[in-house]
Amino acid sequence: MRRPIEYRGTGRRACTLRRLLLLGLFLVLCPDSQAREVTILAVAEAELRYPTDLALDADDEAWVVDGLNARVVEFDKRGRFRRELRHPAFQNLVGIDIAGGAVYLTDTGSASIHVLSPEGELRKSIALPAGCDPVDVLVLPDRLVVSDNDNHRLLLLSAEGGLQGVIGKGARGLSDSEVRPLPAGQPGEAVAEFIYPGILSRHGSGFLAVDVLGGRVQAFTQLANFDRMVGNFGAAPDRLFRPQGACACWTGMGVLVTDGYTGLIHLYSEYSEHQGVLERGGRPWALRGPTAITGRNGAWWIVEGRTGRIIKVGIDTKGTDR
Amino acid sequence: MARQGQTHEIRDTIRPGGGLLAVHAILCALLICAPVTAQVLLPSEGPSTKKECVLCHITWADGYPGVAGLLAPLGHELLLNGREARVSDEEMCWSCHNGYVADSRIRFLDGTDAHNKSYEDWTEHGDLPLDQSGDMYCGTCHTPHGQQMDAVYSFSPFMRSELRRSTLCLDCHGDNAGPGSNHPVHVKLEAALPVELEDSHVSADTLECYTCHRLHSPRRARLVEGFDRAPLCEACHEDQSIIRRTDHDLRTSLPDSVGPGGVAYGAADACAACHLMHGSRGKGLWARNLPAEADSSNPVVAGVDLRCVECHKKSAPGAEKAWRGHGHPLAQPVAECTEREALGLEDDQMSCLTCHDPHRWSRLEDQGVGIDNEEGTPLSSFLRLPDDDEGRLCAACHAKEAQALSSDHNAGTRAFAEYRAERPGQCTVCHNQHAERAFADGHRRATTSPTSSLCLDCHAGEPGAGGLARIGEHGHPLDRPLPAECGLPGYAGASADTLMGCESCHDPHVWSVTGEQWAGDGDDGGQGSSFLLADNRGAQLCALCHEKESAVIGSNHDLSWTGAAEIHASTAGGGNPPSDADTTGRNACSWCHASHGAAGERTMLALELGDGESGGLAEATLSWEPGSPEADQASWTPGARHCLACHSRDGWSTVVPEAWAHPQDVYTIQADGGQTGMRLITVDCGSCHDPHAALRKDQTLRRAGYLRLSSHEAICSDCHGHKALWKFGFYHDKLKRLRP
Repeated sequence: MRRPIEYRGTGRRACTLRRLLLLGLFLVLCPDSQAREVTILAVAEAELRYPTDLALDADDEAWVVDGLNARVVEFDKRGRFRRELRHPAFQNLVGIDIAGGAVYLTDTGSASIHVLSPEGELRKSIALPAGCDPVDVLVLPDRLVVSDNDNHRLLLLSAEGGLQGVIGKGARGLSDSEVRPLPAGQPGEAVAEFIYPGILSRHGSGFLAVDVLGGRVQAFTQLANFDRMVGNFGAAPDRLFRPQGACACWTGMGVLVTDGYTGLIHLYSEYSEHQGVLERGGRPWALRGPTAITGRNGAWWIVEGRTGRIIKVGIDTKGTDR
Repeated sequence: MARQGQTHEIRDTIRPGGGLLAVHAILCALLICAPVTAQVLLPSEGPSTKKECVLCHITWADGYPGVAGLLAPLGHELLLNGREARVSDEEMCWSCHNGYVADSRIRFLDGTDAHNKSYEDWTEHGDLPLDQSGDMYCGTCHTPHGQQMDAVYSFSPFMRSELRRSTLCLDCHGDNAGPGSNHPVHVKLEAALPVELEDSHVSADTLECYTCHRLHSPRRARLVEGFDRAPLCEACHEDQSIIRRTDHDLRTSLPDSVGPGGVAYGAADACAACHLMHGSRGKGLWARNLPAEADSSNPVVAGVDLRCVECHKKSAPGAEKAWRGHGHPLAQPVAECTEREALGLEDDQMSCLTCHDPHRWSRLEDQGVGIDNEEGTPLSSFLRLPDDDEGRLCAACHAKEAQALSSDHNAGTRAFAEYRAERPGQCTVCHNQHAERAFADGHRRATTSPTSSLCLDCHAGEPGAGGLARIGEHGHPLDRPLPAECGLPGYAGASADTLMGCESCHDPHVWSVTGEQWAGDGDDGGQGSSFLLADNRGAQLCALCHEKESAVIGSNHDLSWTGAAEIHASTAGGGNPPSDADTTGRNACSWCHASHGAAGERTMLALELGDGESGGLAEATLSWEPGSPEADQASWTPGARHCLACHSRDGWSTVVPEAWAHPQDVYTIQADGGQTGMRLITVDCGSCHDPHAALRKDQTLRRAGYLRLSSHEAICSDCHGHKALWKFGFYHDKLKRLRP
């Protein structure tokens, strides 16, 4: 019998030592608040109504969740409308991920995950336990991670949808035994606890989970162990007030975080140092209600939720790598 | 909550989200101290108090640099860390309600599910806050500090005031809930809301603003598409939905006309022509104008529903069925009515809506009655109950009159076939509820009595014709003043008198006041039935007006007690009784008088009289030789012949004048019942005799021979002086006449 993989953010010495090491480095290396200049490469519009999430396929084309229109819209690299996917099963789509030649969509209306072919054929729908509120899904090599927003936790599922574990207050992470029906989750402010977790994003071999009302982003390893914290709550310029989206930056382990209230996009180093916000024209670049952000090959796509625009940007990264 | 004029300062003692210096200090302390767990760094006992506030009140956050878009202070002098309290703007709401804490995106979509933000006049918004532009925003209605939810996702999500009683809506839209001009709110729902409105989050059992309006798109009421509100209305008012395709569905009857809202009826819904949910003009959410006062095209009387008249008048959409101020009386008490539910009686006053349901063309739709703008009948015409074979509509209030159903005045009887072909109702055969005269048109005999006209329409003519009870040419006179003391009904004439009509003796709805049952076709009734107002078997009804003549009752002239059957038998063939008379059930009057079908115009004599010359009557009574000058001069008045029908040798009476006759063309004066004073009459039996002037047989003092006056006062002496007695003997006693 496999030994249960324990959640490592509950006071285990190894985790604590690592955090102290990172924090020590933070003290030694003063945060670099150098801003990064943004160049808008494309703006995609297709009468989107408060889009929420997006994902890039193997061709770097952007798939955007336009949930209020019950569709997914595909834009090419230049932000031009290519096509849309609709299906009667769609109720209230919020999150998306693309992996392994399949499109994964979270549907808070039906509390399920739809798996579609790139052509839009519904391959299957994975029903989540009753009461779940899936806002995003991330496909890892051996499992699915789902943000169960109202229950303040992440669900770890097998590719077939079997519940493997839970991350959140009072949860243990992955488990090798059958997971019983889930009680309602509780919010928490400790590591690996959440207050309304939102967008999930790849981060190296692990993943990032935005803790929206926790005012932070939490990084986890591939095995769903807590890795590190990115940012913390506050209204100061170097704080996250309402983090919405996060993605790995050009360094691979640095993180870009959108703030849905201030509209700013914060840059964090791979050591979770705040390195300022993205700028345009020498001034902080504030969007209207940005949510998801993702990038690849030197370009980043951002969902500006309030305006319904999808903005593709380039970021001047000269001299930023450490 | 801070009160006006008070200043509160809340000093935070917990600063978990402090600045970098604080973090650094803590971290340094952690490096020095023993290793601690993450829970120490970030307490896991739930969000700190301050953070809960700062999540929205960003101005209270440490390091707050100032972000545009925050609202101006509202006057609440609540300070935290020396900073004034401010409420956040819509972007703050969006930052959570964008799908990643709660999904309220649909509420932010302008023109779809979002509450309208801008109004020209925001003076009526109570204490509700507006944003910096003076427009509504989320916080105008919502606040985390407001109404407590019963449960997550329950009915009142952070509302500033109670929503169940529409309080929040009415803070701004109070004018849309005032009585009289708006759909009522707070009214108890008599049944569960229909499925179509189940998503209105109604947990209360009353109708409120949100029952019809989506709170985030109030101008788009539920179930309404375009101008078609009908599905919403019909969700509760299903009974009224049957107005579709009737004449009152102006989409089909007047599709090109423009309604009160400037919308062509054809483009609106069936309800819009008459009803307006807000800003209506009174009862029933009336959308149309109401006539302010009466004019020639708009008769307004007490009890009439002006809403009906507004259309049903000249030069109005319903002019074809214009109401002219006549017909069934209105504003009458309807307390005695049964079928109150069917009649929709809301109060005890009769109105148009007592009989008519403007939404329902017919109660008999399931019986094949069409509704496609066809001409109405007593079975349809928006009547709440049909005037069918049972006369249900009228009988609901007129129970006494409904007794007619048990008589030959039931319109279902054979005699009504001709009339019912034109007017298929039960009561409407005779009555017209909207005409100046409350009866069906047409009469065949001159009379000024409306009732009599109607009666005579059927009953005039010779008896036996058409299966009806024909009354013949002669009978009781009509249109004469009724004695004031008789107490019988009549109709108002030109003078102050009450004139006699058929209704003075008959109630056409009540077959019998004695309990006699109508036996069916062929039962013409008797003195105890025949729709008479009173039991007339003892001539009581006649006596009410003919008090003087009623003295005959019980006298020798009252054949009803002297043995009518024997008398009839004894006079058969000789006494010349009515050939078709029913000899049973006659009263003291009817042996000699016939109210209907009398033999002659005068005195309603019942007997068929001979001509006095060829019949046995003359031979029996005259002593003169036929053809003699005396016989030629004999007076053969109808009255004389009537008396001699009995008082002859072949008659039943033992009192037979052996000689009789008075020369013709000799007149005397006689009182004429007070109508015309005095009149000249031919001298005959009645000159001296009053057949009614008998004392009852049990009275000892009797006036001999029914004389009008004592013999010494007899009128004979007026002309004949002292020879009168001799002449009397001469003419009445053959022996005396023959005496030399």
